[in-house]
Amino acid sequence: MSEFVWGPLMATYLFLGGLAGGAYLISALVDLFKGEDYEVLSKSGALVSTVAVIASVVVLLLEIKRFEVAPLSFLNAFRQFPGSMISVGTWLLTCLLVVSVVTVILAFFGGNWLVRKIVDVVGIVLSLGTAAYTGLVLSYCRGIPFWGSPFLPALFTVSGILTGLTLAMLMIPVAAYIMPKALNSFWELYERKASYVGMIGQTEKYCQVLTVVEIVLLALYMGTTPTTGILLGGSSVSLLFYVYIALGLLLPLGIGYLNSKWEHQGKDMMIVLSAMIGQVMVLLGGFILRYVVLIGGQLIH
Amino acid sequence: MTDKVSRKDFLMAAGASLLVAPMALEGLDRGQRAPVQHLGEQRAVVVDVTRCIGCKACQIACKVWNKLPAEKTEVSDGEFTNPKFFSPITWKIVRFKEIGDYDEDAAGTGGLKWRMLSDNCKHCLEPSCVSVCPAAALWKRSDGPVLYDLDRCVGCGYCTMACPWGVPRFDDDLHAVRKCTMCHDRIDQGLEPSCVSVCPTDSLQYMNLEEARRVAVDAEANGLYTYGVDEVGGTSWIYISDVPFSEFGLPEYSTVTQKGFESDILVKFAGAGLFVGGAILAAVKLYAERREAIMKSGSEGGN
Ligand code: SF4
Ligand code: SF4
Repeated sequence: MSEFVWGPLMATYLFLGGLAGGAYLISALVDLFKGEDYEVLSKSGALVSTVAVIASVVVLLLEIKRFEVAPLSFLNAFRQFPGSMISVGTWLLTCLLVVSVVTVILAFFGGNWLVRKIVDVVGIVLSLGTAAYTGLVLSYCRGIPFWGSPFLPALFTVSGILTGLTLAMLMIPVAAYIMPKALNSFWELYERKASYVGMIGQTEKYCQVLTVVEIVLLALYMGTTPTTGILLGGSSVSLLFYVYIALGLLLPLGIGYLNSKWEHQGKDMMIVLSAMIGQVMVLLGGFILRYVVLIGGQLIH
Repeated sequence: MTDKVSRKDFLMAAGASLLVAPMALEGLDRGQRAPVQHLGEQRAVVVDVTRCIGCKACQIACKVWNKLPAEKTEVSDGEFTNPKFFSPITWKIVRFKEIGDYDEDAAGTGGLKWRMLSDNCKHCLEPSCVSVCPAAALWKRSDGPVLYDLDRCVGCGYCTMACPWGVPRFDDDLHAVRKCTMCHDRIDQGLEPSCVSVCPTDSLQYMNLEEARRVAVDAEANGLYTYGVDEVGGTSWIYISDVPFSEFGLPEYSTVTQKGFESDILVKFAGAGLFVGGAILAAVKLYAERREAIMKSGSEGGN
């Protein structure tokens, strides 16, 4: 191929879509199973999901290059459901946005218990669908053999959940500093540092499980897809691919291990700081993963 | 009232969905329909590589008829294929290929074969580009050509990525993709596509699809290679050659159509997803049980 049709903007769109799905999934699961102890994470997840969906749509508009037909094209895209995967994604992202906004309203301003649970369950389906969509949209590209694997959507789904959970966690102390008044519960939680540290301890275990699953899926994807060699050596993106493995997968695993040791030694500040470094790395890795898969595929088109 | 769903309930529900999902997916239309319908009504072009002399008249005729400007090209890697890639203003490319190793003791061309293939949009019978376009900007006309509406295209690039040969190309000036139209405007006037009309060796021949497929079957019976009879469910441009098409960089494709390809990926993904989901749930459950056990033994130890 002479040039890249899909580049950093598309990678950002896929990254944000997966992250939005993951963040909402965590928000809903935490609300269903963890109750009040983790309320702040549930709120953070719903907020992250809302912002990420909006951001992904903005990025998509920048990517499609035709602002003048944008309103009409969205209408057209809705009407092509379920024929085109991008239409499926447009529906999923729109519905996820509605569900995320409703969840934010219910979570911050209160609402019926049952309604919240129903919204959670609907949202779980939508969020998993959205995260999977970001991979399926690539796998359906018959002209790009590197993407034509069922392990790719699985990999992107797991990575979406991991990045969503990570950003939802990262946003808690950040939001506590930026908007202490508006987000009272964030602030309170941050004041009770021990409880955030406890939450880090718990969520890092889940992150470790997700990271290991991501590594397994990456191995399955790379092992079963033709032309994998392009990422392993020689191409302009192979270095980035190794950065993703080192910083986006292995480093956070190492940090998680260290934190579990420090947990018993009461090194709270160290845990919060190192967790934040790990969280930033997971997010960076998530973006690089999308980028190298996108570019790698087009290199061998 | 508690607002928690018990972990057991959730795991049971997840388990039930594990059982139900494959059954539901089995019912999906796998999209592998009979690849060709209404053959007689459709027009087609047969491209016979063995007759091509590489004069590039077709490449030029395409430019002329469709009023496509020239683009700056370069000869690279000792190749005569020029330009190398489709673009919004290059819809037709004659691919040149030197095949074999030169042997000075061998007679004639020294064991070398010099082959050319006139390449463009294949006007698939079930086009991937049409299938994936979220704006319904592309469609397959019942008599063969795969056409598009510049005003509907949003420039998402999905058709370029999905097309098995990366044919549609985004035009920065028009803000839409463009590609070969099989000269539908000439076909409407009862004329042949422009490239066909100028070919001096009849390497390109315009006929109806049924006939084209018969020609290809006969060629296969004579030991020649064909491309486009089965690939991606069949195309309206059918190629015949005495050397494998991989020589020209044309990838191998099964008879599965785009829809079949999509449902195949979806079914396999659902399988992988259920497996991975189950594994994550099991890991989480094990972790929770271990934690509970540790906490229990801790509190017992404290008593
Ligand atoms: S060759 Fe590509 S652009 Fe042409 S009809 Fe087939 S899928 Fe569409
Ligand atoms: S680039 Fe245009 S024609 Fe191609 S899929 Fe997107 S909207 Fe459809």
